[in-house]
Amino acid sequence: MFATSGTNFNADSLKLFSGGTENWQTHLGAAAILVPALVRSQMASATQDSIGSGQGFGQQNEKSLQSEGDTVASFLLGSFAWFDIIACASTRSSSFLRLDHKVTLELAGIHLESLAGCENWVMIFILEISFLDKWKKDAEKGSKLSVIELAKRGGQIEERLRDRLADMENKSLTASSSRNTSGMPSASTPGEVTKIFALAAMTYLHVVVSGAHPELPEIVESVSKTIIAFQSLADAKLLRNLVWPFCISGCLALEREHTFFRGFISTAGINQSTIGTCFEAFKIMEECWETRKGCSYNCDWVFVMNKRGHHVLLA
Amino acid sequence: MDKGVLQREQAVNIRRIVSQTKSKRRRRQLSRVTQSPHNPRQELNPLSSEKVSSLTFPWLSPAHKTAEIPFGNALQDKFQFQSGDEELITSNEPLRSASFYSTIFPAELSFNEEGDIGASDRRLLDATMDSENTDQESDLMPCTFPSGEPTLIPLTISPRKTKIGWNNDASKGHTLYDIGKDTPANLCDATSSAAAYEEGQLPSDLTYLHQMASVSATETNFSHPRTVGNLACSSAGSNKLPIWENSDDMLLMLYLDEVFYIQYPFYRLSNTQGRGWLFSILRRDKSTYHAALALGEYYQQSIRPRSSDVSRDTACLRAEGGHYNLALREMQRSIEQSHTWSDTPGLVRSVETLTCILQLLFWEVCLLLLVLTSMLIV
Repeated sequence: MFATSGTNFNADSLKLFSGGTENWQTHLGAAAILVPALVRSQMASATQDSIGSGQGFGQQNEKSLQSEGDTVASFLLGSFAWFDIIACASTRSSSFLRLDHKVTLELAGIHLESLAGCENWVMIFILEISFLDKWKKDAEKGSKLSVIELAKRGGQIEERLRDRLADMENKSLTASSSRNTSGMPSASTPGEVTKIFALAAMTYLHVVVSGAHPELPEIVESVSKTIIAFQSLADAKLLRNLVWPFCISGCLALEREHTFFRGFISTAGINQSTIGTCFEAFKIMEECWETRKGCSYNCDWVFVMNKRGHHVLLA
Repeated sequence: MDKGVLQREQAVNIRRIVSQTKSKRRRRQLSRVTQSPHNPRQELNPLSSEKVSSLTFPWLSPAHKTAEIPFGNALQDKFQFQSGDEELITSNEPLRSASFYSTIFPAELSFNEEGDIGASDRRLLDATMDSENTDQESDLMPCTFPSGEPTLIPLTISPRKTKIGWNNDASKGHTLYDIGKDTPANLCDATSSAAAYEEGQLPSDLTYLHQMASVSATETNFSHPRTVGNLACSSAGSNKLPIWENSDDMLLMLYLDEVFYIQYPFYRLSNTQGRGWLFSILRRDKSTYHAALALGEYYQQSIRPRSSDVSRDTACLRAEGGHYNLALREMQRSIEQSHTWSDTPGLVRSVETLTCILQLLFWEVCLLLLVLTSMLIV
């Protein structure tokens, strides 16, 4: 039986005429009503697929029809999972969708790299870091935060993330050498996007664990590596699909690195008319730089968003 | 045609046969148009008003949609895109021939979406296949009536005197804006797209989209300039090409060609199944259609020289009766009804609504920039 999760959505709650900037949150809330049923359907479908064997002709046809539906469902679930994870990491808030993202991505056969360019595993890392962030905030509120426990949890994530990044580096070197021998021109690939997201995730992790301090050695390392990865992009225009890593890295960049971010947004052809939120992300990082000059406060992208009164979905 | 071949379980065979039938039909239509554009057989052969008034057109009668559209439609629509038709080819790639055009937008597409080609309605295919051997075969088009009983309705090949491919048959006293009232024949009027295309006219097989746009304009008293109805009227006695600026079709193509790939730049790289499913939902679901146009509208505005009054532009995009507003209201209605949805039809509605929400979500994310930029200007 198909059942949705309640209907507390009202379009009138949207800031229709005031240019409300958190309307995207309302839409994610609306999606949260319908997504669970679609997930259950996909789960059931996946279970049937694993059980089904010795199919007759009719069953094969039915499966063929099913696979078409699966394509649509995967697209939708993948897109919403993506938006939800980016929303968490953009605003350092809780997940909007009642969704086990990891299980959903795996069982529904979703490949986020085909939608957003970034592979599933990185997005799961980013979500894990968001969960750690929430755990830390909850513990702080209850005056129960153990820094040792925080460091331990953060260290585990860091270790696994470093391993995956090292694997990526090795694969990248192999691919690079084989490409050079074949004389094929380099081109932007989902691998480049994945790497940039992974490096930004490392920066995000250290911000959560240690605070938004550009001088922190771990942050210096991850931001500088991210800048190199941005410079290696074969097509700078991909920047508009790298808004979150661009903003995170920019906000935590050292002063000497600010020039790169100013120049890169220009190289990518991003201006105030460009569709998407990339230019807004640039404005946030600029304000972050300015705010940090005036005080030594732990200033991150969310601090600036709160100051500006707009929560931006860095997608 | 041997009906024995069309067993219910043998969908693969059915697809092959349908594909062959389409090819034959296209060839016949082309040759017929070329040889005898005023073939008497092509004259209007209206349905009885009783039957047509109960036709299921989701964009005309949304209230019927839940009950009457088999949700398998999302799956069944793929039926239309077999044999390499899955990839929605858009205006980035020029259409080179009429037959190529017919391949992308076969005439029966706009109606077959309502035809239940599920296991219980294979008679529809039988009947279509049988029609191969009759003189009238190309004039028949499968449709499903609310009863669920598939029926063949006349597919009229309009003579060349109709410059624009869609309904504008003054002799019948109907216009596009009559859709949804009692326009039996016009609803089933599919013109010769091949002839129209060769003459540089508008592709008739997009009729359903124009109908959808026209109806929405009528229903909501759009203040936006709409060219669809005017195109049909003004060009009836003229050889001049119509102007497409601000038409909903242009917005739709901006969405498909530009906005979609801004949002999903890697989709083409790894997905071999194309976007046929998306087009299918756009054709079927009004809220998703308007949401796509809203994104096209936003993109159109974003590439124009910046207005000095951005807040007015923003308000215009959100205006009552505009595409965003229509999509939002439809989506809200769907959400409110969602607790009544059940089983597969409910899942289909859910997929359609989520597609709409996804577009609206992206629209809001995009519009944010416009709003914040206007604040900077101020």
